[in-house]
Parts: sequence; C-alpha cells; structure tokens
Amino acid sequence: MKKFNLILGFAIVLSACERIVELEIPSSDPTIVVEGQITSQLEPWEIRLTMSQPYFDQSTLAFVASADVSIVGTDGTDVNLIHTDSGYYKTEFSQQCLPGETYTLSVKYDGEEYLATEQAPLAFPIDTIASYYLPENNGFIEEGYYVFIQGRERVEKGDYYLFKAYRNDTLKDDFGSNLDNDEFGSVSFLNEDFDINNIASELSKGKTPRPFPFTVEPGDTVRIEQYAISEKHFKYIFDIEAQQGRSGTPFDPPPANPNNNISNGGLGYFSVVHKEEAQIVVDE
Amino acid sequence: MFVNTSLVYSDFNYGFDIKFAENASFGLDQAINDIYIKSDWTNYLNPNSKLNFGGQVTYHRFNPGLFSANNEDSRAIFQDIQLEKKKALENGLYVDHEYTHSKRLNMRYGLRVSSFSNIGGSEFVYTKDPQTNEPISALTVKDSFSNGDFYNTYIGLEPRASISYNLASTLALKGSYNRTFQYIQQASNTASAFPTDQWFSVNKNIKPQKADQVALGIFKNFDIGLETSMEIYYKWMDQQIDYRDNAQIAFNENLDGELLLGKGWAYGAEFYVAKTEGKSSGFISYTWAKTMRQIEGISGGDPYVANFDRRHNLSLVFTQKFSKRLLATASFVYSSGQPFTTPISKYYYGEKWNAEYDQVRNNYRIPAYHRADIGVTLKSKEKPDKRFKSNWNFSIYNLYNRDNPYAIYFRTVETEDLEKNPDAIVGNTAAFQTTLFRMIPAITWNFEF
Repeated sequence: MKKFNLILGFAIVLSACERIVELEIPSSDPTIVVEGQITSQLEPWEIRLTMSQPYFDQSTLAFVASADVSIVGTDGTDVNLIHTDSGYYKTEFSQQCLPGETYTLSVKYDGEEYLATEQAPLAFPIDTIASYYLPENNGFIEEGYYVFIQGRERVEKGDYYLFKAYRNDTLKDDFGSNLDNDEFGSVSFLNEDFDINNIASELSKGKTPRPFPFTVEPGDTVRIEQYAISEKHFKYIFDIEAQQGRSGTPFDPPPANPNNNISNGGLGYFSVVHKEEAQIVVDE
Repeated sequence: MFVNTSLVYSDFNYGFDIKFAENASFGLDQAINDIYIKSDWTNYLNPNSKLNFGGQVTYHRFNPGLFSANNEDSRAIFQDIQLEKKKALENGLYVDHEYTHSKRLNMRYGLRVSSFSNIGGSEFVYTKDPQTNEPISALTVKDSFSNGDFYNTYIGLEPRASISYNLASTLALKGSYNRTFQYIQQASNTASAFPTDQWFSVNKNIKPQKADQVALGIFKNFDIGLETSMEIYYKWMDQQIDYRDNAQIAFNENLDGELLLGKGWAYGAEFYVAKTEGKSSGFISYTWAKTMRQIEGISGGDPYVANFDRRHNLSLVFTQKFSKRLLATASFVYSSGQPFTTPISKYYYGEKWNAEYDQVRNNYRIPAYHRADIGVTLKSKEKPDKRFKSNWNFSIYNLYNRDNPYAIYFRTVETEDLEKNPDAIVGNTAAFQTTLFRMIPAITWNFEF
C-alpha cells in the first residue's frame, strides 16, 4: 500500500519571530566592579569603581564614590587614588610601573576589602612601523593599504600582547581586541620574520606581513599602542569578548564569568601593563 | 524461526546561519551519515521458551562541522574551516531468552555486546597525553591513522533482564535491569536553549557513556476497557560530557578539548491511563523526571540539572468516533521548559554591559512548552470493490496560539531590534525569545492506493 499526503493549505506563513520577553530570572546582590589599568608611561593612574545591577534594570550606571583606594608596589610605590567624578579615582601625581615589579590595588568599600595583584610585564619596544598596499584579496583580507609593525620577542615563552590601533585618532576594534602571544609565531603582529626594510622584495616573494585588520588611505595617521600584558589579563580579554559576542546561537561559549584578579568576589580587572607607541602617516 | 533483516541508510544534516551584523554572517553545517544492516532472529524452542538473537553493523560518517562565511565581507576575512571528518564502525550482537514459567511468571534475560571503532583517514588531536594521560594544551599532540585503520576500539557488555509476575489476571508487576553503552553524545552550550547542539562520538579522548537502569512497574486493567500503569526508574550514568566554562565553540578545530567529563543520574515516575475501547477513547500520560549531572570543573563541582531535564511531561489524547466515517481528535501536551543558564546581574566593563553568571549551570528554565491541537477526519465511503481510499483532515495546530519559545537568549539591544520592539532602548540589556510555530490551521487530503 502506498500513502500519499497532500497538505492543501497553511493559513500562516512559517517564520521565526523574535521579540523581547520579560523573565523573572534570579538576581544577585550588587557587586563592586573594578576597571583599572596602570602603565609604564608616566601619567596619573586612574581606576573606575561601579556596581553591578539586576540584568533587566534599566536605570543608569551606579558608581562608587566613597571607597578608599590605594596602590602599593614592590618598587616602593604607595599612593592613594582620590575620587574625582562618576566613580573615577586618580592619583595626585604622575606615576609609572616598572618592569618585573608587582603592584597591588586595594579597594575598601562598605566594610569589605578587594585586592588585585599583578606583575608589570617586561618591556618590548616597537622597532618599526610601516604600511604597504595589498593589490588583491588574499583570502583573509581585502585589497587596500594596511599598516603593520615589527618588534622583537624574547626567546623565552610566556609573552602576551594587546594592540590598540587608531586611524586618525579613532580606535579600530570592529573585530575585537588585537591579541597576540608568542605561540602565534610567524603570524604574530610583531612580524619578526618579515624584512620590513625591503617590503617590495618581500611582497614579490609572496611574503606578506600580518597587518592590523582594517584598510587605510594615503594621508591617514595611524597610531599603534602596544601593551605587554599578563597571561591572566590576556585570557580575561579573550573570554570577556567571547561572552560579549553572545548572539544567542550554539556558537556562543557556555555562560561563565571570565577569570579575573579581583579578590572577594569583585568583578572587572586591574591590569598592569607595559605600553609602547608608534605612529605613521600612510603614503602612496 | 522468524527472521527480519533490514538495510537502512540515513543522512541527518543540520545547520544554521547567523548574521552578526550587516556585513558579517556565518554558517555551520554538520551531518551524521549512517548505513546500517540489522538482522533479528527468533527461534521458538518450545511453547514456553523463545530465543531471540541478532546483530547490527553500522558505518558512521560524521561531519562535525563546516564553518563558513556566508557573505562577501565575511568571506574576505575568514576562510572556511572544515573540521576533520570522522568515520567509525559500530557493532552490536545480542542473544536473549524469553521464558514463560507459568501463567503468573514470565522472564526475559540476555546479553548484548557492543563495540565502537574509530577508523583512520583523518587527523586526530589528543586532549590528553597518550602516555601520561595528563591534559595537554590544544593542537600539540596529533596522530595520523591511515585510511581503514581501526585505531581505537571500545567494547561494552550489556546485560539485561526483566521479570513479570501476575498477581491476578488483570494485575501485574514488572521489574527490569539493563546496562547500555552509548557511543555518541550531545553537548550544549546551555546559553540559549537551542535544540541544535553538537554531536560527539567517542574516540581516544572521550570514552563511551555507561548507563545502568532499574525500573519497577505495576500494571492493572479494568473491565470497563481501562488500562493503567505506574512505573518508577533510576538510572546511573558515567562519562557524561559537557562544555567547560568559557569553552570556545565557534571555529574551533579541537572541540574535544573544550569538554569535561563526569557522572550523571536520573530518576522518575510514569503514570498512564488509557481507554482503548468504545466510541470515546484516549489516554493520559504523565511523567515526572529528574536528570542530574556532576562534573569536576563545572558548576563548582556540584550537581546540576542536565540540559535535557524536563521535570513534568503531560500528554492527553482524546478521540471521539461519530460514525464509521467521521472522527474527531483533541490533544494537549505540556512539558517543562529546558534548563539553561541566565545572567544574575550585569556590569559595565570595557564600555559595554557584561553579564555576570552564577557558578551554577542551568540555573533557570525557559517557559514551559504547551499546546492543544484539534482535528476532524472524514473518510471516504468504504466499498469492497474500491481500490482507492482517501480521507480529508481538518486540523488546527496550537489551537490557543501559545507563544512557545524555541530559544531564549540575553544580549544588548541593537538598532535593528527597534523594528520589532519599538519600546526597547538601544544599548540596554534584554532577553530575546524566538518562536517558530504559532497557530496553524491545515487541511490535509490523504490518499491510499
């Protein structure tokens, strides 16, 4: 026996419908959030303290104005940070962290103390900054002008980097942070194997550098900030950006908090970094 | 002696496309392709004794995933990533004996032997050092096994037994035990309650899941055409897989390395009442079930609700025959929502709102799934000389237009969302729900020849 089914009519077109819903999800007590970075450049140190809030709470950001904030370092640093405005705390004078020294942030608020300790990474200069023209899409990036740098790496493993690239003073982070570590080898932003003094000859051999992932135009000013960061900070940025990239699909990582360095259940991250900068005006 | 042999080919493909932004869209396609041959034999030894035996051979081909960029701009940046395709052979051989001791006592017991062999031909990446069994960082130890090489085989012994005892002609007690090995498992990121989760087959990194189940049931029939039953069960499981916290799932060529293994257990009770005779018939079935997991490194190492736990399941079906040609059916189903993990707060960091999560996996459930369907069937007149039969069916699926969630996820409101949610504020955080099927009236014509 054979069966034949004919479905004559659907009155409603089948299409997925997406809408915002209200859910009574569990909620935690407000928790302190630390966002702070101190660098090797001589400048006032600044951190920000805010509070977490219920996920569906639409009120404005709650900041912490009455905490006692200080940073001590193994180099003898011992400074207080004073509240200025909107949760920002600042040192009175310019400070800088020194490679290999360890710095501890202390935040005392509401009877609790939150500590974060991090060691300043070693210094690595940017040797050269350059631009080149890619005549056609190479499978990764489209044709156009690109900027890249060259720097030297330690032979030892365990170095982690974050690069911030600015095109005409605008931060370019469409693809998230530019992270790098020394396992990336020849595809690192540091382009150690590329002869930066003979770009044309390298390109003619089929070698291309790894540029920052955006095209530029001749006449643009591009500034690259290179941050040497800790392994923990590297993983924190990687994981928090993966969580931020959540789009409600099976691609998403399982919901989890990135590992951070704030004690006592505090959120956010206190980073100690070595910073280098290089700038170029792109030419034809 | 009865023999039933079948050859089956199945090809299960699933995929989805995601648009992250106007110029960034990606797809993932996965497939499990099986060919199996199966033969079941029954031999009557005597009127009270029956021997069943048989076997099955399955050739699996897995395509764990092709990540591809779906538009010009994305293709310019990302090359397709084809995860290594895998092949495996799964075998099963069983023998069991059905024995009627008396009118009161029946039993069935037997043994199944199963095996699963990974077949070479693709690159294999270890997540544990083959010598020391210590976890190793991804993509460092690889092996290539030549095509056709059965490089890894698991064998499982699966004993099973059931016994049935009639206390009276309409009252029976049944008890059973069985052990099973499962060689293919599913893992979910538990973030959005999507039904499209990843499939994993066992290999040198992942061992087969072993499950032991005991069940006890009582069955009672009543003269008025009513069948009732109640059953309870408990199940122990090991080698359960789940993704570790912050696992990287997209564009990852070493997904095995993102899994953690642990144990699980499940228990529940099933209640069933059916009326099988008469113009009005139907059944009510209700199941209460709890499925838990405990995996070191997930949820703080504490037990948590498994992704496929559905605590309450209710099903009602009612059929009314008006005449030989006209019958109506009405049904209702209810199922607890799928567990998933929600944020417990949000915090501002990196100039964006971020979700804070409890350590607890699957801390919440999406809203329950329920719907009612009704239908009327009109059959053609039956004539003995007529070769053709046909019937008309008028039905309404999801009668009260329930907005059942297909997926729920949490994210920041984007400008594009304002089209459908005009009251939302861009940059705020919200829960989004997608719904697939609302009410669907349908007219179906069935034709048999």
